[in-house]
Amino acid sequence: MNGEEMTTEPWPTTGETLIHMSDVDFYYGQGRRDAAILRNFQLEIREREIVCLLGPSGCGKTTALRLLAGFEFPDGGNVLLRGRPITSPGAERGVVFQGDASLYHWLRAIDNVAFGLRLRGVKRAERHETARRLLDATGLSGQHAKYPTELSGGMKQRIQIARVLASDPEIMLMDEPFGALDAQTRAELQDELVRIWQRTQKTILFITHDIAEAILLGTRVAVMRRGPNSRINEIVDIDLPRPRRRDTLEFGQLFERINALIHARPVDERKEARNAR
Amino acid sequence: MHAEDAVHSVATGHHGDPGGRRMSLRAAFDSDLTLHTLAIALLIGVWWLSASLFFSPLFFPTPDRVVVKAWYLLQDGSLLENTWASVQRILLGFLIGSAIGAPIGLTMGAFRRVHAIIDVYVEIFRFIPSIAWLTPAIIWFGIGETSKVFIIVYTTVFVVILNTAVGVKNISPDKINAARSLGANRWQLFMLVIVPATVPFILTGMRLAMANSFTTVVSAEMVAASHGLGYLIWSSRVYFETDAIFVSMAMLGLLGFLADRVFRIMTTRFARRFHTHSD
Repeated sequence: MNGEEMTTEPWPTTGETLIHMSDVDFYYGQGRRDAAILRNFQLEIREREIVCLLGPSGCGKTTALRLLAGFEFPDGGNVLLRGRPITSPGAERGVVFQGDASLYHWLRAIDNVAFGLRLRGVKRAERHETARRLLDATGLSGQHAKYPTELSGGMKQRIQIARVLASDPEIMLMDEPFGALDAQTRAELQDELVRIWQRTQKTILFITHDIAEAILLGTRVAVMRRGPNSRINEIVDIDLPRPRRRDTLEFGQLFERINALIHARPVDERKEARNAR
Repeated sequence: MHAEDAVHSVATGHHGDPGGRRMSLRAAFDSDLTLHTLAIALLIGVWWLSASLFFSPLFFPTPDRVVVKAWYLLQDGSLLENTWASVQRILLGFLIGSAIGAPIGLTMGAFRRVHAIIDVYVEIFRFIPSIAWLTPAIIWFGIGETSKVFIIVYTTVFVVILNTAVGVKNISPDKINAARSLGANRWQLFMLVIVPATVPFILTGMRLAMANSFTTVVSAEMVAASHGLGYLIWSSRVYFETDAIFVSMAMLGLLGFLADRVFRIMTTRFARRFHTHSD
């Protein structure tokens, strides 16, 4: 939680392949082949990475996440976790949603965090102990007994993160989790997430349309093209040292490069359009 | 509501008024309680005035006559006896109806197939007024309490079902998906997410059903009962005791008002946390 910890804990290093999405197609409704959200979507995520999926709204970022979460299934291609197809939602893939509607407003913060453990039949005292520890670790000490409606937007997103961490997932799927927060809170939570990543060595897929946020957080930034028929245009390795600062030349250069990628018209697009016909 | 009040007080300049005493007087005059009292006074005033226009109190008794009659009916015990008879029926029918309606509404909301089937029944039967069932109910259950309670159950059940089912449909998909990705099975999803998230809608359904119960109980008692406020209204007709009819009507209004208050207090006390907003 403080600067000291930053220097003592090592930065996570990339490991084996955890997620593999290959040749994924996903269509609107009942398979209108000309209006795919995702077409030929490819993505590989390795252990302990933070992959930021970046793209304009409506490009299918969230769809990609929902496929990994097991809320949706591909119309073509494979979505694999450690080589096995994803067939349902599961606690090894924790989801942090953009809004606070995913929290249980009738439960106190501590019981929201302990919810996953309760589902697994963990005894009350034990699950509360875990939840208490996680609330403290996500900057929510003193808020344990509050209901979500009594907490600010930033605190509610912290609860969501703690709730997912309680299940000790293999990967955290984060769907624009800070998108609805004010700039100040957003920056705090970005720093907090990096600290959590450092401490827990979790793999993270982080969806955002904010270029700076992607550069600040990601070990890699996957830039998507505009939909329909969307896919990843290019993946940019971010090798800036941490903690990262926005006001460096390198940051600015990366920003420009990624910004250009978002607006670039892919070379193969015309050929693709012909093939689709 | 509170925001409105704030706007209102700014508009009327409550806060900046330097004349302290005048302001507090005005504030007292402007309080909800005062306004409610005024509204009731106005109601009684209009009643009095319009009743005086009739040449005979048999047509429309003035409030004072109704109060005297109420006192008389209180003394001979018949007012309380009849009120209690109605209250018992309402309470029993309302509670049984809610206890049946809420689970049906929950399963309808949660399962598409159940919804598709039960919805047909609901959409047909809810348009048959409960009082139409009175004769069949008497034939099936006899002239006693059961037939009356049955039709109150009937009137309650559909309102509660509809509201509950709507409540389930209104649950944010994120709440469901969050639970599924935390590992909830179908039963856990139902008991730990769908049921608690629907509580406010069930309570709204019950509150609406309460009003229906009042209507129904009076109709039933007018047709087939030897006790109850509906019976009192109907039997007073025979002796042209218009004032007794108005006593019963006032009693029903008062009872409904009280029941709604009690229900709201209980809702805020025991079910507050199930509401998204804390007021």
